[in-house]
Amino acid sequence: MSRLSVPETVALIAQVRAGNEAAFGALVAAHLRPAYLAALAIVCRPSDADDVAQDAFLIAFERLDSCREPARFSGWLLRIVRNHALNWVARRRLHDVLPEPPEQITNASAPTEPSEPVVRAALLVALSTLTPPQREVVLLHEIEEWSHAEIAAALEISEVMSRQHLLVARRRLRENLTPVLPQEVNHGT
Amino acid sequence: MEPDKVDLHLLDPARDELLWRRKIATLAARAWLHRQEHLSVTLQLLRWTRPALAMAVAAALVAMVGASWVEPRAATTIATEPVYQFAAWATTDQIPSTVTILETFGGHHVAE
Repeated sequence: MSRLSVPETVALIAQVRAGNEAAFGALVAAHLRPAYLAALAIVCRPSDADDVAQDAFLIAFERLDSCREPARFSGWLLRIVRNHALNWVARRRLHDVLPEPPEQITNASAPTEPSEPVVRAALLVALSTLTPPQREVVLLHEIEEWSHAEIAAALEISEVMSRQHLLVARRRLRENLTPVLPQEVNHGT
Repeated sequence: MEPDKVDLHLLDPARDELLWRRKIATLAARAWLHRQEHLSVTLQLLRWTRPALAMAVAAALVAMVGASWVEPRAATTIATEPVYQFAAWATTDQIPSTVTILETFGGHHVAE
């Protein structure tokens, strides 16, 4: 995925404000995945995260002129995503509903390698045991490959806190995944 | 390379690159349209704000002038009402002539 530097983002925002549609596309391409991951960290369901991220994007771009600090666009966008995701959870009353693990993944002694949907479901269940900030940090770091400095700036936390969240998140994920997916956990890239 | 890293690539929404690119294109088009609509509504509102305010001020002025013109006229009308006249005679112990009474109640005095 295309990563944008801060000056590139600032320049794109200026172009979008001036009515450049191509610049708008580039901005969406660079920020949709982080928005999706931030939404997933709160709603815990991929399909809901998809909807939340897209809705948040519509809201964000409608209010783009109110983004006073284009250099902090990521943080501004993720705040909108987070607020929208929290509203979504409140509306759908998802507080107590966590994704159910499929039956296969409870069978740790299964000789065959688990299929992708099973591994994916196990990952979602393991993620649901983390706190939302831990989920957000681990998803942005492991999938979007953001540095702690980038995460800290976007989530408005310190870098130390970002490292702490990642450490705890990884440990908990291992604890929860090892009994069901020993090979998957050991195959970290 | 981080040895502690947990492999979460299955949760990556961009795993299917083609699908992801399509999603981006669709969303970008949708969001762009949404933004243009929002901008045009805001622009229309801004465009109409000044004339609307001017019209409101003009209407308020007309209403104020109208009210100040209507009020004295209303007072005069009330003063000529028979009831008002009757009360005025009673409070000032006046004894109106027959002609005045007839005129007040809308009648005519015909000389014999």
